[in-house]
Amino acid sequence: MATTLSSSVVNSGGFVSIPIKFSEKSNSKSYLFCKDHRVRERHECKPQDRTLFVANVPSYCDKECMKNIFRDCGIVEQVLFHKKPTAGLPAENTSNFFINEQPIKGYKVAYIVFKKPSGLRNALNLMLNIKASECEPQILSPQTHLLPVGIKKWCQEYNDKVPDIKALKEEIDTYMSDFDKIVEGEKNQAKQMEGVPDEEGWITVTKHGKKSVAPRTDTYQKKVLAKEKKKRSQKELLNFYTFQVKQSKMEHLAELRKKFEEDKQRIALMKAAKSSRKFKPY
Amino acid sequence: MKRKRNEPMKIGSDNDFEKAEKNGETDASEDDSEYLEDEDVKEILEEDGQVSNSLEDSRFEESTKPPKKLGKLSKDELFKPPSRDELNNLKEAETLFHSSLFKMQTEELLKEVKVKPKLKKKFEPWLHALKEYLSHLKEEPAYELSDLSWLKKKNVKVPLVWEPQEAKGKFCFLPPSNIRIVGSYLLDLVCRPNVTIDVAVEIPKEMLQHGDFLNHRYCRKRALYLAILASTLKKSELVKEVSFTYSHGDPRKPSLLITPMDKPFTVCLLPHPPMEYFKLSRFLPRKNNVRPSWFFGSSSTLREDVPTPHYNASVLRDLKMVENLEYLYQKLGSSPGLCDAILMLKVWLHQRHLDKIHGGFSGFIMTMFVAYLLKVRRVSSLMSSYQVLRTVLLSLSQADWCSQGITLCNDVSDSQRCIEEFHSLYEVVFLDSSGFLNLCADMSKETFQRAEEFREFWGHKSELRRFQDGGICEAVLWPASSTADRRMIFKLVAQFVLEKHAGISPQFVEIIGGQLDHLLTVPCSALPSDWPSYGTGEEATMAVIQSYSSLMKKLRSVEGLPLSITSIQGISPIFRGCEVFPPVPISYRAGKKMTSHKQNCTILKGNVGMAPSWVQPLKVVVHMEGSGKWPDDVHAIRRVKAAFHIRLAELLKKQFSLTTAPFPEYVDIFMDGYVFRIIIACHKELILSRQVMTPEGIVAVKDTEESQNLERQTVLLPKLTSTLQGLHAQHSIFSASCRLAKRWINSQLLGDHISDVCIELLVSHLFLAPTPFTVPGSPQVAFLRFLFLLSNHDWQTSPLILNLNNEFKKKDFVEIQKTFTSQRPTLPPMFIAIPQDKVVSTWTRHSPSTRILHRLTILAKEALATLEKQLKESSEMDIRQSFGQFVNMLNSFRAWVGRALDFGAGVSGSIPCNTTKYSPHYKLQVHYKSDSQSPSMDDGCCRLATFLLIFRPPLDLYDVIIHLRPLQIPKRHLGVDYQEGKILSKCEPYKYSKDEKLPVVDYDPVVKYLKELNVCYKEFALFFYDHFGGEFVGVLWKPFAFEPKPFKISHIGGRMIKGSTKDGEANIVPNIEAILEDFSILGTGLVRCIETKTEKWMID
Repeated sequence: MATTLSSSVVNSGGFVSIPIKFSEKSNSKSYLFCKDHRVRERHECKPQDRTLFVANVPSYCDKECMKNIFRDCGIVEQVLFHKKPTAGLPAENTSNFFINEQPIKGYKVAYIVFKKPSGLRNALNLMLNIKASECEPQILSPQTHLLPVGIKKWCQEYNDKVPDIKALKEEIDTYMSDFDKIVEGEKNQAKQMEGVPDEEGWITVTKHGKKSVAPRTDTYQKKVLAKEKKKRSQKELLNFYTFQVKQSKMEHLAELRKKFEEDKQRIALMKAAKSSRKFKPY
Repeated sequence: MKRKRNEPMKIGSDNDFEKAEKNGETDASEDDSEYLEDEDVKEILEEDGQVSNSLEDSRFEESTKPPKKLGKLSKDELFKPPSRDELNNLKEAETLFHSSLFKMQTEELLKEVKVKPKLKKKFEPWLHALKEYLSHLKEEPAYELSDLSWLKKKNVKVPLVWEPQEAKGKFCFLPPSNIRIVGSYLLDLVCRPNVTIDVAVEIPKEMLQHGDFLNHRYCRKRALYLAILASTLKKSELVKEVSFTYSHGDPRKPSLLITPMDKPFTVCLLPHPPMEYFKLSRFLPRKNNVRPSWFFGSSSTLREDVPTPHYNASVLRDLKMVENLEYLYQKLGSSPGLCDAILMLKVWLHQRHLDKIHGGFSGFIMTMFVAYLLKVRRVSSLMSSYQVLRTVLLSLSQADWCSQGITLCNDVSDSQRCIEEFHSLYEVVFLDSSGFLNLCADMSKETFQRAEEFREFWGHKSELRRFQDGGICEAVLWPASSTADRRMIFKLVAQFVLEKHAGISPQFVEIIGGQLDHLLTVPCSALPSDWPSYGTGEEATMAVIQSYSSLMKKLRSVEGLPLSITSIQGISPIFRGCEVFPPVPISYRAGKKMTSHKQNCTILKGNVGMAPSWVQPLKVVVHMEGSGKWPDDVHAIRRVKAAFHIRLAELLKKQFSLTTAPFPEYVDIFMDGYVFRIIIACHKELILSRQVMTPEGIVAVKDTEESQNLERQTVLLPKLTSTLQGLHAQHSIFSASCRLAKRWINSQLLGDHISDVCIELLVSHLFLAPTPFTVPGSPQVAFLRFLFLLSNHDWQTSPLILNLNNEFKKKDFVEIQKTFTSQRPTLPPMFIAIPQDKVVSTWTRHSPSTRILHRLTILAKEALATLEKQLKESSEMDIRQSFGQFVNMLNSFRAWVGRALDFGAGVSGSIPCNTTKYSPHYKLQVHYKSDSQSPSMDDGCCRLATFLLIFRPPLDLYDVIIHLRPLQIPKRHLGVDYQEGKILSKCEPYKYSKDEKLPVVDYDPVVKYLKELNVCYKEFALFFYDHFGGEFVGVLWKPFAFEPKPFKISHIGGRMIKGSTKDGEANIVPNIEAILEDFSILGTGLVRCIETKTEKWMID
């Protein structure tokens, strides 16, 4: 019994599967794949000794429901969701109204951080000792904690979209005044730094005047380069020597040949297209 | 290419042609070279064709293989010294055909059209047998021409109108004195696919009398002769079927069509009198050959010598038939360039259906015209087919045979007088080599009678009316309450005219053109009670536009905004007239059980058992003036925009007492019962969202997904909207056509897979570049053409270039074609270039995919075939028996209806009577059956239902079908098969009240559901839904979805471990059971049940 399981564990890259189902009534079960979190790139929010990595988490699972599943193993300190395995903290929205990070959609991965290392150990042991097929699936959406899905969820989303105008106004005001301060600060700093060498000894020179300076953009640079190239090519004589004349004739012929070849291919393609009636006039 | 190799063809440059013209018809080109047959090309082409055929794959597989790398020659090959042949060949392609591609295309076309030598081999022995058979026919006893009773025994009818009964002369049958092939076959000019070979049958001298040209006698003998031939041939083993037809629709001249036993061609027997049998001068146009006293009876008041030019030409044509064909053979036979060009011209005529009607421009006239051009040296026998084609079309466009006829006759002094003579009696003049026969005798230009006849024609319908410009005219008023009705005025007019002047009762007249209109209507229960006729929704669109313009005025006059508004542009389809179901203002009242309020908005309670009415936000982009005060940061700009939204909402409420609700991204305004969604835009945001700082500190421009979305919404879509709005104004039926197309795409559940704009562009193509047809004149015709375009355009090899606003220059076309060819693999499967977007094809970039496009093509083909068949069946015409009378009536009718339409509906009024897809307007069908029963009402209902067939998706295709609860579908009433009365919720008209709240806007649970399904299960399946009231979602597993994969975290979503590979690695497969259950979990409350069609797929 244990051997079959351990073999499956080894086969799937050290992952253990936990059966889950949505509610008591569900007939089918799916599997979460768990493993202790062990990566080269460490991050303090996911301490290696107490973090469990869980993959194949359905889209409707929330933090509460993950905590529920692992409540028997120990106290869960934090649940972090990501679209795919990531080292750092998930990006969070700083504002209630302006989304800069889209919420995770579809299947996701979760990092469960236990309060104590024993929690992680318990979780791994527990799962190793139960054969997956025998284990009663964990219920994601028990009566005590119903997950919002379907119509309920969409209604909620619709309602949440209606903003509290007062709060929105306040948020905008604070953000803008902060932003203005930052801009002002940057400006002041630039002014102060004028003529003062930085740590490597470079001095930034700025022009203050009515006439604008050449903008440092990609398009402008390209324009300048093209202009120069044109100038250079105008100076060149192209059919001065006999060999040049000969060459240009050869090139013309080559051009014709190339075109002929391409056209041949195109006709072939047109003919090949099965649905086409290209050459059948009616 | 069918040219023989050993037959040299002279090639010369343009200079040589000039010389040739100067020197007459001598061979002037000095650098003659043998024409190089491109065997290699042919071989390559054939090989390729075979390869691709074997690659064919059915159902949803990728239909077109990725394009092969274009033939690149190595450097050595490019620069090797050319052979003389090669050099000539390349140069010829360049100078004579513009490009070698064009040349090769023409060659391919001709190959398709020309008759294969195999057929000739079959034909010749058959003809020999036929000749043998005909020349050994038995003589028949002589009968009086007026007595037709003996024909009954023969079991055949005379293919001629026998009016008046009385006729002089005798008829006795003798076997034909000569049988020969005439017409295009000799010159190798027969066009496939319907190969008809003309065979002339000479009526023996002994059968005719010298006065036979008089009083239809010749025509009658000719018809009887054919009747006897038909009756005997029917019994012959050589023949499968015989039928009568009218050559070029001339009711005087029947001919006999023979379908041989198992042979892929038909033969047309044309009887003619022996050459020179009648005196040519008898048939000069001034002469009278049908005596009025005989035709109208003795009571006729007409003078006896009234000219009968059309009759004369008709007999004369038979008399000169063989001679003319010999003339052609002589002139054209030796020039392959001319022959090829004539073939192409025939194809051109056929495509435009110019050659099929009575008095049409037949292939024969075209051939004669080429001969004429040869005679006046506009073309030469050395020219390439392309040059000839161009010259002919050019001369045709310049020619005016109505006032300046042309002649093939050499005797100029004599025939010049004749031409004028001919002009006085024929409308179109083109004389043959003898100068006697007018080839174009039957051709007529539209003749308009005088206005005085107006009253007489319209009878009691006509009344004196005063128009706005002050003019007082005789006019006819036709009632119509909606645009859809207005389009159908044609029907009323036709019914009225036919009843009044032809005595055809309206129930036998059927108009093909409005059968699909009802797909654009909404059930009455969704309309406010005071709404006038909805028709096909044009009026509803107009009402929205009116509200929108008053909103624009308000926006522009708002006081207190810190920056001024620079532009207001609608971006929703309704502003292009392309919204399938434009909103109507109703009062939105949802029960307290379902909804409550939050500020100005209505919000939903979670346990709603029924979705609230669908309210569509009408999006409007408002650009604010640029200013230095806009911050230099995308996030800050967003905040400023939100502040603008709040401010705008407040101001509109205060100054115009509009109900408004601001959101961070937009502000919703409730006005006149519509919800306008105003999105403030600022150009700086787009610039900033594109800017990227390179490591060198240079600002570069780089498109991101986000910046592209923004560009689409604030720049491209507004511009496109105004362009299409212009098209909508120009072609009144663009709107209905486009909506019909969208409706169809959605009904095939492909709405999510093809963007709205993409459909609009496709439809606009039908109006911008309708060739080879003319601009469609009814939505139904436009829809048929839309299907035609979808099923016939070769997306793999050619881009669709839309010259919106005529902004493209000639060089743009070349450039687009060039970039398209060179970058084909990286471009989307459906490539549409418009002036604002030449190389990216923004609107088709993400959809449709190759697979969907392939499916769409198949569906369109099917739908087109079905619909055309249904339209044809719905109106079988049975007028053959009395064709002669009918044609005349129809001709005079045409002119009148043309006029009537100019008066009544402003639709241009030509009514070509040919098949549905090709005719630009409505098609008129008359059941000329006086004894048939009147169709009952049930009949009509059934008919409408049959037209729905193509709007019902085939369900057997899908692997899983998710059935939805109808009550949760906000647009359920728009469904194709929605039965009125299922849910009775009468709508009250919208009324403004001071404390009104915004309704629930843009809430469609099905859309949300589809989004979630796509996000979670995109990897496994495709989802299909009809956004206009569909009650189920079709699911199709992707082809390789069930393949086991090695265990990888990136692919683990929705899968489970199953089995292991040989190396002991675990495999994962989709957890189908769980996925199916997830389908219903994600749609809790919306999904009714899930139907799995496991017979199509298996869970292992």
